[in-house]
Amino acid sequence: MGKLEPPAGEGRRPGAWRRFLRHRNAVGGTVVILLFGVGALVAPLLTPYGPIRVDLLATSQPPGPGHPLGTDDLGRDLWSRILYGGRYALGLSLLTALLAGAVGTGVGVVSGYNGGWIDGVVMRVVDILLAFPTFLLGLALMAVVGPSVGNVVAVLAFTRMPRYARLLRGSTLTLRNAEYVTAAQAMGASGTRVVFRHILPNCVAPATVFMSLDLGGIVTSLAGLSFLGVGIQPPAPDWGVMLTDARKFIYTAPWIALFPGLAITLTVMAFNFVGDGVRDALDPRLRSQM
Amino acid sequence: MARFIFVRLLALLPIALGVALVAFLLLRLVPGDPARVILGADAGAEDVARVRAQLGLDRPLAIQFGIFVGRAVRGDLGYSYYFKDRVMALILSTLPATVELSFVAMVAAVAVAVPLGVVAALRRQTLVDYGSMAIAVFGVAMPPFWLGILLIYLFGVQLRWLPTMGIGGHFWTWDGLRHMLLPAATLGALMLASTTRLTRAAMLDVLGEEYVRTARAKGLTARQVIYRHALRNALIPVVTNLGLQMGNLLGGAFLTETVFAWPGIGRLSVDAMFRRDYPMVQGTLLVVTLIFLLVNLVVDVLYVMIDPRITYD
Repeated sequence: MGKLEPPAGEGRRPGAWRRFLRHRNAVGGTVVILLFGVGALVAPLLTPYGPIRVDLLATSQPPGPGHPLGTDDLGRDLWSRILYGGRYALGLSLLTALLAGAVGTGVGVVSGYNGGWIDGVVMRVVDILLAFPTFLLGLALMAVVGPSVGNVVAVLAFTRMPRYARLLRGSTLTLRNAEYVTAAQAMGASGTRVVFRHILPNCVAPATVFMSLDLGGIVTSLAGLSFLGVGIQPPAPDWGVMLTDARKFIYTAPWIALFPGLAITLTVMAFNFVGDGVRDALDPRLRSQM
Repeated sequence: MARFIFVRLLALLPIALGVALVAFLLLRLVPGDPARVILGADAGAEDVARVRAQLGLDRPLAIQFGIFVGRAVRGDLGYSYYFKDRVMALILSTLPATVELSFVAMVAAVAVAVPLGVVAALRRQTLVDYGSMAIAVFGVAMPPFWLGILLIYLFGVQLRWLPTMGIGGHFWTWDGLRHMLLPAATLGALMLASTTRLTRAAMLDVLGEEYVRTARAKGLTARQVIYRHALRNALIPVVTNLGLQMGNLLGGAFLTETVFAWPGIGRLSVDAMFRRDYPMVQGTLLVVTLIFLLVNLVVDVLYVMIDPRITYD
């Protein structure tokens, strides 16, 4: 699909990069995400301590030399845990968004393109899943399937997928009736060919926009599940996990609660800005819908 | 209007049935046999078979679902493994605390957000405007469990003004209100943020409309223009957003209740997860989701009341 030329006015957005780079908040957000991302990747170079290395001789140390962000109740270095924690927050959130986006797009396109009873059944299921408060459905599912990294990603993606399906079904319905699609069909193109050559490439933009707007919410949900104890499990240096016990030490060591929450907030804010930027760059018309 | 509400309620039925199906299937996702979960690993095969029969697990899935719905309609959501009590009774005893908290959080958020958004739109690029935008950006990004901990630190630990745990009675009593302030602020923050942002944006949109210019041109006072013409129209997307935010509010209530040891349905549910009390998890999910659906129906009705252009046939 690499050298596919989309029809004029659809799919290709000239100047998208320029529009994105003009969006000051989005650029700032990108920088923050990159800092967290690079920090997570090269964490061993930035800190001498492992993220789960317990040091009972240095418990609950306030921020200072040696431990720039202090240590927690087990003497684990918070700077290390924040850095390594980025692997969960960024890595798993991106994975979740991609999974939800890919499956949701697939479901939405198949449903919208085929129409008929397939569409009817799929959309009823989507309606039912959307009837649940998203976070609570994820919480209940996690409680039942049990906590593991794979389960967290699968459950989060599953609970967020219906929104993608509904959105992309809408796009597909519009595209299906476009003249160039009718033309392709008249020339004898198979359904598969039409979907892969003409529909899917034009779904990339809305799916990308929605994924980037969804990422902030995914980061929060992931941290929330971990905070409640059904997501990432201790002693993993996930930011949500780090906040679980922080409340207990609020009287003696408040910094334990401060930094992980700050990391989550900054990341979510950055993703929200990037999402706004991606939306304005790729498809300003979506502004009113999202 | 009564007809509209009736039709909407009717349309809700298949969705509610689907929600019940998901909640029903949830228990089937539990690894292992529910009878064994109840009895423990060393129970004999005979006992397991007996409990399976008692729970109706030996019957076809469709019949089990039919029985589940039949009972749920009569308010019977089964028995909690942990409390050995009726799930419905436990839900009903914790629900008021959650409703009270959510209600106060929502009303307070809207009461602050709408005026703030309006003032921000009227005084663009002033301190008020920048302040409201900062609230909007931070409020959306801050996870409620962190905001809660920060508030506990500030008002409970440092200033010692407010209690940080539990419930103190109804919110209209002094002690109840004191206990309510921090959890309600925590829970309401997200709604405050999104409502402020939307009110501001909607007001800016509406203030550029022709009918507002007309209203001004014909000599109405600024107050009349703002309240009767601009705000009323600006509120339409704001109300829509309230409906959309309701799900987040309920999710936030589960987190907030955990942080503040608030004895509501959220804590009941989260505790049940750790006790592997699956009927409780199932029951709370079902009840909260049905409430969510009804609240959204109410929002739709409000919508029609604010905007007479929307017909309800």
